[in-house]
Amino acid sequence: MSATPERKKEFEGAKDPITFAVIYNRLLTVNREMGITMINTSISPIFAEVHDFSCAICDWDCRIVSQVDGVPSHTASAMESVKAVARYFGEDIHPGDVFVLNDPYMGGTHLQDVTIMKPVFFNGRLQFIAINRAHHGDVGGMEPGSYCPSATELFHEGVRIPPLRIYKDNTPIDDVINMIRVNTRMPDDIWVDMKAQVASCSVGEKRILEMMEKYGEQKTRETIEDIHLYAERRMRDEIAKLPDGVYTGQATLDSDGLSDTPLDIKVTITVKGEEAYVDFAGSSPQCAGPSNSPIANTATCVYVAFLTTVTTPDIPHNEGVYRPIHITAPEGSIVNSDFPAPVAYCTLDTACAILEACWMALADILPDRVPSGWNRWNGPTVTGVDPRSENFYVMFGFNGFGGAGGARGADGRPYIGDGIDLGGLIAPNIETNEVDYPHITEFNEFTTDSCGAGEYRGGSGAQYRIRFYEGAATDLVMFGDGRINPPYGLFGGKPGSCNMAYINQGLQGERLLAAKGAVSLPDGGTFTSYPSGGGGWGEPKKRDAEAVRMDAKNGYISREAALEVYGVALDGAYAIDEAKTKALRRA
Amino acid sequence: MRYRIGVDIGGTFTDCVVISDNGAIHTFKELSTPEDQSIGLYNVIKKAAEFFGLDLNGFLGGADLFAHGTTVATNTLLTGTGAKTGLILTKGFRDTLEMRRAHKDNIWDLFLYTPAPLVPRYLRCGVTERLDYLGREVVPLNEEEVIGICADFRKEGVTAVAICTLFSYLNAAHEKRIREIVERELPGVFVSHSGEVLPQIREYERQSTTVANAYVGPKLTVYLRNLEQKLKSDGLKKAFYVVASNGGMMTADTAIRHASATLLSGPAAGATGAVFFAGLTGSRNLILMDMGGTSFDVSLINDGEISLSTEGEIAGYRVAKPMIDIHTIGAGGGSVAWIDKWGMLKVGPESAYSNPGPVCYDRGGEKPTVTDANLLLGYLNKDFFLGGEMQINYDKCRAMMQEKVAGRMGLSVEKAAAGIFRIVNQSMADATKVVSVQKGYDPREFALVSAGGACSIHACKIAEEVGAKQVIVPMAASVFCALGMLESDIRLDNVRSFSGVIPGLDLDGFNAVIASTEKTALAELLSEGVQREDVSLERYLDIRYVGQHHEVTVPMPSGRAITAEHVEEIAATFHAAHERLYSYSTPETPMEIVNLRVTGVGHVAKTTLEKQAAGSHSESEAIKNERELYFEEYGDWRRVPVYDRGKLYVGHKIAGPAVIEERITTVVVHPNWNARIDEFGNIVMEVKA
Repeated sequence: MSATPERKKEFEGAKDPITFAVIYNRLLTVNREMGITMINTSISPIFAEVHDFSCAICDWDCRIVSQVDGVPSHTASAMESVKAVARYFGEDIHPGDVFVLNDPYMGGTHLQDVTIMKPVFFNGRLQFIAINRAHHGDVGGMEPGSYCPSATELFHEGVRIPPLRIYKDNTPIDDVINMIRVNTRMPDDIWVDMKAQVASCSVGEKRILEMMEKYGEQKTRETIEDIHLYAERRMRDEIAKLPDGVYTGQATLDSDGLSDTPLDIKVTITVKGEEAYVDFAGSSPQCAGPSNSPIANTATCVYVAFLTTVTTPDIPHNEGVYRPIHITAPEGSIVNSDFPAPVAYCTLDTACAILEACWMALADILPDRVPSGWNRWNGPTVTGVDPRSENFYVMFGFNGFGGAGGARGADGRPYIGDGIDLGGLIAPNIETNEVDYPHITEFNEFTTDSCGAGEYRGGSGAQYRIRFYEGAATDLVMFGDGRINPPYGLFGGKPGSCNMAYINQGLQGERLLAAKGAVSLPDGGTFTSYPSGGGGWGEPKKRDAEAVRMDAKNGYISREAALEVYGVALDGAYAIDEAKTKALRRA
Repeated sequence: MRYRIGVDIGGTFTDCVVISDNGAIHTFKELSTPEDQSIGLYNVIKKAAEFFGLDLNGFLGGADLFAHGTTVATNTLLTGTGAKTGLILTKGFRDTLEMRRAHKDNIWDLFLYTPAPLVPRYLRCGVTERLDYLGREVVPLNEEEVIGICADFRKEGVTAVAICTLFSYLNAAHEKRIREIVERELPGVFVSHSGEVLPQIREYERQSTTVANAYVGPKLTVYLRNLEQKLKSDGLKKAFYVVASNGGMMTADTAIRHASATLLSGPAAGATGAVFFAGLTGSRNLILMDMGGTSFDVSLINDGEISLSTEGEIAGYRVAKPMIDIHTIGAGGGSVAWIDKWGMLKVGPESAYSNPGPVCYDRGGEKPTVTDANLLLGYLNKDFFLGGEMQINYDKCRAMMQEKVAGRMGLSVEKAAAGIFRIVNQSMADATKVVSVQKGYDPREFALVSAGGACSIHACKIAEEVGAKQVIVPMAASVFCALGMLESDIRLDNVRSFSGVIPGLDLDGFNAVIASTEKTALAELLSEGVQREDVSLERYLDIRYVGQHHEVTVPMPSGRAITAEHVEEIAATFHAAHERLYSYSTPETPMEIVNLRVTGVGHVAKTTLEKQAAGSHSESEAIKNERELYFEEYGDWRRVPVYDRGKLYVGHKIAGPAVIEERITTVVVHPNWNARIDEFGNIVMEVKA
C-alpha cells in the first residue's frame, strides 16, 4: 500500500461543527442512493439479488471519504483504483468522462471486480470521484465465471483492464468498450451491468453537485479535510485504548488447489501508543495457483479486522481511519504477491484467512469484541447451456451458506456466508434461482451439529443439494477452502464443522470434491454442499442449559451433542434431567 | 340527517369524526385504551351520541357507514404477543424464515440484534411435495405427513398455521389440500396459505408475509369479530369497514383473512387524511410528514394516489403486501442531542421518550433534546407549553444545553440549539427524499403536509431543504386520520404471477389472465357489499427489462381487452418510469412482465365540506402577544407576533416570521415564508415571492 502522506494537522473540532455534521450525513445518503440504483438496474443476479458490489466516493486527493454500501473486501482498495487513474491520466480528466479498471496489480482486486469511476467537477475543478466496484459473472480466462483453478498467471484469469477511459462527454466510447466485451463470455450482460454501474455513479455525481451548490467549494473541501481528521482521531483513540504490545495470529489455507501444501498467513500486530503496525513476516511465499493476494487486498482485510473489532460500527469509513494502521508484508509472499501471479481467490479464501489471522491476534486484547471463526467459501460456479433456452449461463452458488462465529454474549448468525463478506451477500430465493438456472433444489436447510459448540455457539451452516436438468451440460468449478481448516473456536469454544462438497452423493458416480478444482457433472447429476458452521466462543458447558435444551429441540444440535459436548441430559420430550446434567457439568 | 362515523385509534387518543351529508364535521376525542382498544372506541362514540342527543342505538343505527382504523395487528407484531404459530412448508426448506436470505442491515455490526423468527424451528415442518418452476407437480403431496404434523401441532398448543410451499404462486393445489387437512385436523385454528395471502414469486418474502398473517390473525379476528358483533347488537345496520395498509377500506371478514394487510392501518389512515385535505386545496401531489416524540414518518401521494411499496419490513419482519410506502427515522421531539467524544454533534438515535422526556419536562431528564432546542429558540412557548397544561423548567433546560452541548462546542446556547434544529431538519429532509427523490419524484413539485404537534415548527425548513414551495397544516390535524378514512374507497389488491415478454406478448393468453383476475377481484368487491355500478378495476403490471431482477409497477389501460397498441403504450410508460427512477432507459431491450395486479375499487360517496365563512375581524385581532424567536437567517433573535389559531379565519394572511399557536400544535412561519388561511381552515404556507 502506498504510503499515506503524514499530516501533522490534528482534529481540533470542526470550524463549523454544524455544517460538518450536515455534509458528513449527506455523503452517506448519497452513497446509499448509488447502491439502490445499482440493485434496481443491473441484470446479473450477482448484483440485483446478491449485492456483490460496492459504492464509494473519493475526494480530489484520491482519498475515500464515504463508503457505506457493499462488500467489505471492496473497502479501501477502491481507493487504489482511483489513484491508478489519477497517475495515468493526470490532467487529462474531464467532466463527462468515465473510467474503468480491473487489474489487480494496478489497483484492482481480482479481475472479476470491475471498478467504474466517474469524476465530479465543480467550478471547473475535479472535486470528487464516484466509484462503483462490482463482481461480474465472467471476464474471460480459462473457465467460465473466471475462477480458473489451474491458472498459474494472471493472464490465464481473464481480460486485464488498465486505467481506461470508456466514456467521453457522457457518451460511451464503443470501440474501447467492445475490446472488453469480446474478451468475456457474456458480452451483453457485462455491458448492461457496466451501464448500471455508470448510472449509479451518475446519481452520485448529481447529488454531490447539489451539495456543492449549497455549500460551495471551499466549505465543502474544508469539511472533507475535517471528516478525515475526525475519523483518524477516532481510530487513534481506539488504538490507544489497547495495551501496547506485540500480538500474533495465524490462519492456514488448505492449499492453492494445485498442490496439497498448506499456506500460512502469519500476522504480528504491534500496538504502540495510538498506532498499530501490522506485519505479515513468516507468511508463505506466493503460490503457483490463484490464492495470492496483492497488497491492496491484504490491506483491506486488515482494515476490516480493525473496523469490526477495534472500533464501533458508527465510525466513518474513510481514508482517515486507515492512517494510524501501518501494513507491511514480505514481497513475493502470499499476502503481497508479485505480478503476474494469479489472484482470483484473493477476495474470498485468502481474504477470509487474513481476516481470521488478524482477529486471532486481537482476540486476547479484545475478548469482548472479537468473534470466533466464520465460514470460508464453499460454493461453486456452475456453467453450461440452459436446455430450456439454449443460452449459456454462469451460476454462482449463493445458497447453502455457512455460519458466523459466536462472540461474547451472542451466538453466531446462521446462514450468513463467509467471513470476509460479513453477511454482505444476499442469498437469492430458491424460486428465482430455479427460474434463472436449469436445476431443481432438493434441500437448503441447517445442518445439525455444524455449529461450533460454545457458551455462545457458532451459527449453523446449511446443507444444500441441487440437481441439474438433463442436457444442461454442466461444468463446475470449486474455489473454496476450509475442507481441512474449520472455523476456529475461542476461549474454550469448539471449532465449527469443515466444508464438504460432493457430486452425486448417494448416487452412482459419487465423488467427494476438492475445495478447489474444475469437474464436469454427469448429465442430470447433483451437487451437494455442507458448509461449515461458525466456531464457538467460551466453554460449551457454561452455556445456559435451557438454551442447550432448545437448541436440541430445534435440531440445531443433536441430543448426543447436548449430552456429550454441553453436558445437558435430555429426556425423550426434551426435558432436562437436572441431576444428571448437574453431574455432567461439574465434571 | 345522514352521516358516517369514523374512529381512529392512535397511540394516545382515540378520535371519532362524524361527517354529515351536508359536509358538516364534528370531532370527538377520548384517551386510547391499549389493553382493549374497543373500550376507548366505545367511550368516544358514546360521547358523540350524547352530543347529537341520541342513545347509542339511535346513533349507530342512523349511520351509513362505520370506518375503523386499528393498530391491533401492528401492536401484536411489535410486542411479540401473537399466536403460537406452526408453519408447514416444502420438505428440505424449513429454515427459509430464519435464514432471512442471509441479509444483515448493518454488516459492520458483529453484534447486530436479529429478531427471532415468528415460528421457532421445531414448529417449522417440512412435508414431502414439490412443484417445478412452471408449477408442474414433480413430487406428489404426502398427506399422511400433514396429518402427523397436525398431531404435533396439537400437542404443542399451536393456534395458528401458516402454509407456504415452493412455487405455490403458480399452482396452489398442494397448499389448498394441506389447508383442508389442517382445518379438518385442527378445527378452530387460524390458517393462512401463501397462495391466498400473496401469490407471487420469491418464497422468503411470501412465506414471511404468510407467517405474519397467521401470527397476528387470531388476535385481530377476536378483536374485529367481537367489535363488529357488539356494534351490530348496539344498532349498527350498515357496513363496518377497516382501514388497510394500502389506504383503502375492507370489511372485517377480508381484514381477518388478510390480517397482514392491516399492519400499516394507522399510517395509511393518515395518508388518506392528507389526500382528503389536500384535495380540498386542489393539491394532488403531496408529501405527508408526521413528527412524533420518537420518530418521523414520511409518505408520498402522487396525483392523488398513495404511493405503495411491497418492500416493507415491520418490527424487523418482512411483509411484502402492498402497503403505504412509509419511511420512518428515529428523529422526533425526544431525540437526544449529544457531542461524541471527538466533537461531532449528533441528534439521536437515542430518545428521551416521554419518560424522563426532554430536560424541560423536569422529570429527571438531563439530556438536551430537539424539544429543548425548540424551546430555547423560542419556537415553543415556555409560558403556554401544551396549551399551558405543563409547567416546564426553562432554566434547567438552558443550563443542560450549555453543559452538554454548547459549552463543549464553544458555541452560545442559541447557536447550539440552532445547530440541533438544523441537523434534525436535515435528517427529516433526507427521509423525505427517500420517498420522493429516490423514487423518481421531484419534491419541488409537491406540497408538504405537516402533521403531529411539533412538525409545523420544522416544516418550512424541511421544505427549503428539499425545494418544496408549499406547506399545508391541515385544519383539525388531530382528527386527520379519522376524517380521511371516511373519504377513502374500498381497495382490494390482487396479484397474479404472469410471465410474458414484450415484444411478442401472447395477447390472448394475457387477456385471459386479466379476465380471470378481474373476475376474482369483482366477486370479492361484490361480497364486500359494494354495488356493481360503484366498482372500478385498476390494472397494473410489474415489469422489467429482460434479465433484470427488480420490477417497476406501471399502470395499464383498464376496462377493455389489451391490444397491440395498448402494449406499445405500456412499453412507453415503462421506459418513462425507468428513466424517471434510474435516470436511463433502453427502449431497444425487450421487457418481461412478472406480475399482473388488479386493484378492485369500490367507490364511496365523497363529501363536500362546508366552506368557512369569513370572519368579521382582521388577522391582527388574532395576535395574542409577541415573543422573541431565534432565526439562523438573522443569526439573532427577532420579536415576532404570536397568533391564536382559533381566531384566524379564511382569507387571513400572515407574513413570516410569525408564530401560530393552538393548544397542542405550534406553527412557526419562518422568515422566508407567508401563511394564509384557506376556505376550509387549513393553514397554507408559501415561500415568499
